[in-house]
Formats: sequence, structure tokens, C-alpha cells
Amino acid sequence: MGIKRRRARSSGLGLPLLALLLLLAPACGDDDPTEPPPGNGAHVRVDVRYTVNGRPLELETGRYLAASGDSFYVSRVRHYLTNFQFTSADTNFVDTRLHYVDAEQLPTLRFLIPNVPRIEYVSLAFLIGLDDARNRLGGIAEPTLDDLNMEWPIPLGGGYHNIQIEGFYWREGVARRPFNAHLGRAQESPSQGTPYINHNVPVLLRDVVFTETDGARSLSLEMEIDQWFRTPQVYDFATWGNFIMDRHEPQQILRENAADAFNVAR
Amino acid sequence: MKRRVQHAASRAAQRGALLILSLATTALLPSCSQDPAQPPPPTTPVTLSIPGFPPPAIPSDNPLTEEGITLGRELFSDPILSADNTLACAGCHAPEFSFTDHGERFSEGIDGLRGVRNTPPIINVAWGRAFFLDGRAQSLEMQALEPVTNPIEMHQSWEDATDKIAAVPRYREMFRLAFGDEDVTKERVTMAIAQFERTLVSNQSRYDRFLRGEVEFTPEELRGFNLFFTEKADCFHCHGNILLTDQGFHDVGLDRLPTDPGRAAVSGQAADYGRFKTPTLRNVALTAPYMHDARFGTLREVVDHYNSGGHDSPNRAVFVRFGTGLLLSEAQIADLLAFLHTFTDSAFVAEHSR
Repeated sequence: MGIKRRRARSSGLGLPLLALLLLLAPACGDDDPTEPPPGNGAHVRVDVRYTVNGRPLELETGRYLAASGDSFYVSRVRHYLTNFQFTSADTNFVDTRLHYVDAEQLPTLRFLIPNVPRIEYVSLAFLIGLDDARNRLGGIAEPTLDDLNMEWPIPLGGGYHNIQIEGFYWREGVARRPFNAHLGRAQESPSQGTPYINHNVPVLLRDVVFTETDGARSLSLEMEIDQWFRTPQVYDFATWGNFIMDRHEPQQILRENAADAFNVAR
Repeated sequence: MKRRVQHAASRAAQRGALLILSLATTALLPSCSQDPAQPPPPTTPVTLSIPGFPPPAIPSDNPLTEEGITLGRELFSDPILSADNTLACAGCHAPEFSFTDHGERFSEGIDGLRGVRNTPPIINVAWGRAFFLDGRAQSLEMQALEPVTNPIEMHQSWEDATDKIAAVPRYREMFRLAFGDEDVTKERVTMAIAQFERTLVSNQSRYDRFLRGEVEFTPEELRGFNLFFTEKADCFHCHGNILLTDQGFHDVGLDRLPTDPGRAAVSGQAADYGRFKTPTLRNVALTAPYMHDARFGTLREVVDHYNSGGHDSPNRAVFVRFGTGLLLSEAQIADLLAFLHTFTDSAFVAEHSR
């Protein structure tokens, strides 16, 4: 069954050891790289938000217009962000931590990037989705329940969804149909056995504006959902709407469009 | 009712034996339970570490212990929690049916009343995020509070339930071992039951062994696997990952206009109307009937529903192919059904049916 029973009955050594650990505990907390303490000027707090047609995204209830002329609504947006790279005139700061972001889960819309040097930056780059090293079967070392739901099935190449944007689209007088903009690993030509391509989205922002509050820096990243379907190529829901997980072409269209989907909100 | 009475009789005999054991234990350890200066007995921590599964969400205020699990197992199977001492948790969550209710559409309470939703399985719930089909309980501890007092289930006040438990010397000793003293509270009862439920882990199915490279699928099972885990049958978006559930809430197009509000009764959101928690497919061949309202008696009927495309209900999940259906052939349906049977974990059932 794999249920490990470990004996940990109290002994005479327990209390002194506990007291020692308590004395050491505050010092340990300061060194935890995953959770910088609030107010530490070295970290950058990132807030993620979503807009559609210039308005804040309203999951399920908002009704929007796509560049294709279709009306649509969005029922789910969840993705990874990783490989943040802050570039200054003479140096790069890179953080490869993985951030799971889900428009439905408020706590995931805010995360910290620790130990970012306090200098001027000329650009910020990051990935929507996972890098190639992690987007493979078992590529996330200690997956969470959220990671489990992002798994990309083995018969489709394995790994994880980079992003899932889902909802329904319709035109006047025509029944709504679902769309699943799911990006992950797909082959350009499955019949010829071409290699799997990881359809993540590299983003480069040249306008890095931090907001300073009480000495702490924050950055608001805003994703325009409609940009995924707009330029440089209008995404045709009727052609691609659903079932694109084993298809390179629609994923590539979305990938190229999404390169301009994020901006730094002021 | 017959099943319940038979079960109660069997339990009564068992409890008689347990009472003897309890008295013997109490006689041997009189000072332990009587001496107020006696320090609380230490408990034995249990770690739930399952290869291939993420760490379970064990609440910090209710860690697993051998003593708590043992107590929870006893309480789970004891009709003492029902007003007339005829119905235990296990009465509706039978191990041989993967902790569902013996193929019943709706479970029967002690007064002969039945609910309107099918009894869900209790399996791999240590990784659960919300409980009941509408997710109204945020923890197993909260979930276990409700059936005891529910008029259509055990129909007993918690005060009566805890008084009855506290009157059993063996239970007092088990509470002392699990929680440090003999106090029997509803919180402790549900904590113990939750601990036991978290140990109901299935990871020995043919599917698990296939993933671990221990067995090979038949050609039929393998074709079913490929249908399940691609967008052809598109089962995996809700039933993928090692838990075989996304733990989300979905309307799968059962009716054009659902009558049961489902998740909306909890969230208050119109978009949740008719949505229910995705059940795990582990042991799915043992958990008929299917859907929240038990409308389908067989897995074939379930597959036929999805293959038809269902109804265009207002909050239909994007994965339900209304209008077109899945377009699965008879052979593909057979393959898919063969694959669904690989989720059966006979070792799990055997272990807990003893």
C-alpha cells in the first residue's frame, strides 16, 4: 500500500531537541528562497490579471467579441509562467521557478520573485508554459494537484499543458460551440514521426515598470485574452475551435499571437 | 432495509466480541485511564507516501496516527452513529463496492427515506479538495459531520451519538489512545473517521501496474487507453491524472435544463447550476449506477451518453460534444469499456472487505 508507519514515540531527548530547533527557527526562515518575507526590498511581487476587449475578464459571465467576428465567453484560463529574466544594461537576472496561475484561484494570481537586484531594467522576458526541459513526462519533480490537472496525456506526447483557455463561441443565429485553446507538445507531421514541438510562448516586454510601495516592488502583468485570437493571424474558431492538442498548426498560430498578449499594467 | 438489518445483526455480534476485548483491555489498564496525572499516551504517526501521487493534503490539526486510524475504522463500521443502531457509514459505503452503496441508486436512511443523489465512493480521498457531490464540505472532517444528523440518513443528534460512544469502555480507551484523553466529541469522532478514510488508497489496479511498467495492456485495452487519453473520446480532461478526477465541477449535458442545482447551491453562482464534482474513475466498474442521479445502470450507458453528445444545457462543459457526439464506433466503445475495467483494484477491495 505504501503507507509508511514510523514510530516516533516521545523520548527524553525530545524536549531539548525541540528547544534547540525553536531557537534556530527564525534564522532558518530568513534563508528560505521560496518565501521571501513581506517588505523585503529584494523581491518583486508579481500580480497577474486578465482582460478581454479592454475589460477585466469575467469568467463564464462576460460576453466578448473576437477578431474573427465570433462572440465568445471564457470558462477557464490556467497556465504556467516561468523563466523570468530581468535584463539591465549590463546584466541579467534569471529566476527559473515555476508559477502555476489559474484565473479561478485568486492565490495563484500573485507570486514572488525573490532576490531581484535593485537596478534599472530595460526588459523582462518570461515563458507562458514550461521550458523544454520540464515539459516532458514527469518533468515536474514534485507535482501538486494543480500540476496533475495540467498533465498532457502520454498518447499525445506526455508532459504538461502550457496553457488552457476554454470557453464557447458563436455567431448570430448559430448554436454555440466549444473552443479549447490548449497548448503543449505536438508534432508538425505525426504521420512522418516528426519530433514533438513544445508550444510554449516566449514573452518579451521592453517596458519594465515596477510599482513601489513602502520599499517593496511589484509588477502587474496583464494578459489580453483576445490577443490570442487576433494578430498576426486571426484565429478562426470555426476551423480550429476544438481538438487541437495533436495539431501543430493551430497551436503555432496561438503561440505567435500570444507573444504580444502580455503587457505591464500601470 | 433487509440489507441494513442483516448488517446490524452482524455488527452486533462483532460488537459483542469487541466489548469483551474492550473490557479485558480496560481491566488490564485501569490506571492508564483513571489517573488524572498520567500524561497523555504518545501516538504513532503514520506517513501517507504513495509513489506517483503528490503529497496528500493532511490537515495540520489532524495528522494521521495509528491510534486515530484504528478508531476511525471502528467508528466507520459501527451503527452506533445512527439513532436506532442499525446503520453505519459502511452501510452505505461498502468496501466491496469501492465504498459505494451496493449498487443502490439512492441510499436508504434509518427511517426508510432516500436522498436524491447517488452515494459517491470513498477512495483516494486523502487528495480530495472538496466533498459531497456539490463540494459543500471543505474537508473530510466537515463531511463526516453531516450524515449522522441528516434526517434521511442516520438521523441522530451528535449529543446522543457521542453519549452512546462514551458509554462504551473500549471506545473511551481508544479515544484516550488517539487523542490523549477519554473525551468523546463530535470533532474527535469525525477526525478519527477522516483519518481512516485517508488511508483508503487505491494504487494497485491494472492501470497503475501498466503505468509502472509491471504489466502490458491487451490490444483492446491499449486502444481504449489511446481513446481515453486523446481528444477522440476526451475523457482525460476531467478524468486524467493519477487520481482519475480533476476534482472540478461540471455539467455533462445530462439534461437540457437540469433540475438539481448541484454546485450552485454552494457557490450561489448561476454558472454552477447543474454542475457536480467529477467522480474518480478508480474502481468505476464496481460503482454502478452512475451520474449524480444514478440514471445510468451500466458503463455502456455512460459511454453511450457521451457518444451521443448529450444535451446543450446552459452550463455544459466544453468537453461534451453536443451536436456531433464522439462518433465512436462499436469497436471503439468496446475498447474504451475494456480500458475502464483496468481501473479495478481488486487488491484494494479485498483488503478492505475483510
